[in-house]
Amino acid sequence: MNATISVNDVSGIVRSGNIAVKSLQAARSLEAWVAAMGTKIFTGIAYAFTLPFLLILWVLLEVVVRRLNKRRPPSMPLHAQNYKAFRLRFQELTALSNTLRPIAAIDVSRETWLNRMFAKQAVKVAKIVIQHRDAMDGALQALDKPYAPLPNGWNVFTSDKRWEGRPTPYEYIV
Amino acid sequence: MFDRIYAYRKADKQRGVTGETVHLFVFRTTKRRCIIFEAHEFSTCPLMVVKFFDKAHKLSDKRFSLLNGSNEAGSIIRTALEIMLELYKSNPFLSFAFMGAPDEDGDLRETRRFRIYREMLKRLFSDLDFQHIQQKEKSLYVLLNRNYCGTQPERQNDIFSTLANHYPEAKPE
Repeated sequence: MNATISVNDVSGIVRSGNIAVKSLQAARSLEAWVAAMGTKIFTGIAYAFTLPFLLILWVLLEVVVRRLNKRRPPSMPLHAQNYKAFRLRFQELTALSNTLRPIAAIDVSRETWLNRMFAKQAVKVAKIVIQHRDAMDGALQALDKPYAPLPNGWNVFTSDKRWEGRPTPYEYIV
Repeated sequence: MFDRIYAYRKADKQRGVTGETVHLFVFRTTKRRCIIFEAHEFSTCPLMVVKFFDKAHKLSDKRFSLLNGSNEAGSIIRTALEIMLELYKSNPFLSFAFMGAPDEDGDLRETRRFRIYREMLKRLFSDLDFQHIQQKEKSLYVLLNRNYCGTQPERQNDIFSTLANHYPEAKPE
C-alpha cells in the first residue's frame, strides 16, 4: 500500500487549504473593489492603497505552499489505532478538495496581472491538497480490492459503505 | 447496548458433522439464559465458522432461528465477538464466517440476524485486519484475514471452498 500522507499532517493541510481559499477570495474582492473605483487616476491611488494588503496575502500564500510542501512523509501509517482518525480526516479533506477543485482548474495566464500571483499560489495549494486527498483515497480503495476473484454472489462490503452511517461513539476493537 | 460483555468459559471440544473441530464456549446472561457459542475449526484452512444458540433450544433443529425473548441480543453478540477476538489472538491467521439464521418463514435473503451482525461488525471491526465479504442472498458473511490471504491470494479460494462444504447454501449456483 503506497501513499504519501500521515494522519497528523492532514489537519494542517485542511487548515492551509482553507487559508488558500480565503486568501484568493480576499484578493479577488480587493481587486473587484479597486476596479469599481472608476477613473484611472483614482484606480492608481486605490491600487497603491491596497498593495500592502495584497502583499501580505501573497506572503501568507507563499508560507502555505511551503508548509504544504514540507508535509510529505514517505509512508502512510494506517493501523487500527488511527483508522477512525484517518477516515475523519479523509472526510474533511474530501469536502475541502471539492471546494478547491475549481481553483485547481484556474487558467493562471487568463487572470489579471494583480490576481495572477495569487492565482498561481492558490492553484499550487489546491493541487497539493487534492493530491494528498487522492493518496488517502487510493490507500482506502486498496482495502476493498478482493485478493482473488470472488465466487458468484459474494461481494466485498466496501470500506466506504461500512463507514457511511456508522454511529460515532463506538471505537474499533480490531 | 454493545458495551456489555458477559464472562464466558471454554467448555468443550467436539468433532463436527463434516469432521471439523467444534470449540464450545458457554456464558450466562444477566437474565440467567445460558448461551452456547460454537466455533467450527477446519483442518484445511484457518477458518472458523461461528454460531450460537440458547442452551434451552439445544435439541431443536431450529436452535439458531429460535428467539429466547430476553432482549439481550446486543450483549450476547458483543460477547460472541469477544470470543472471536480471543480466538483471533491465539491464531492471527484466522478468518471467520457466519450465517444470519432465517426466521420462521425460512427466507434466507438478508435476514434480520444477518443485518444485526453486519451492523455490529460495521461499528467494531475496521477494514485493516479483515476484509469484509458478504453474500446477501444467503445471509452469509466472511471476515477474510488479510495476514493469511494478503500474501497468497489463492488461499481465499480455499476458504470459500471450505465454507461451501460446510454451508451448502454458499455453493455458487
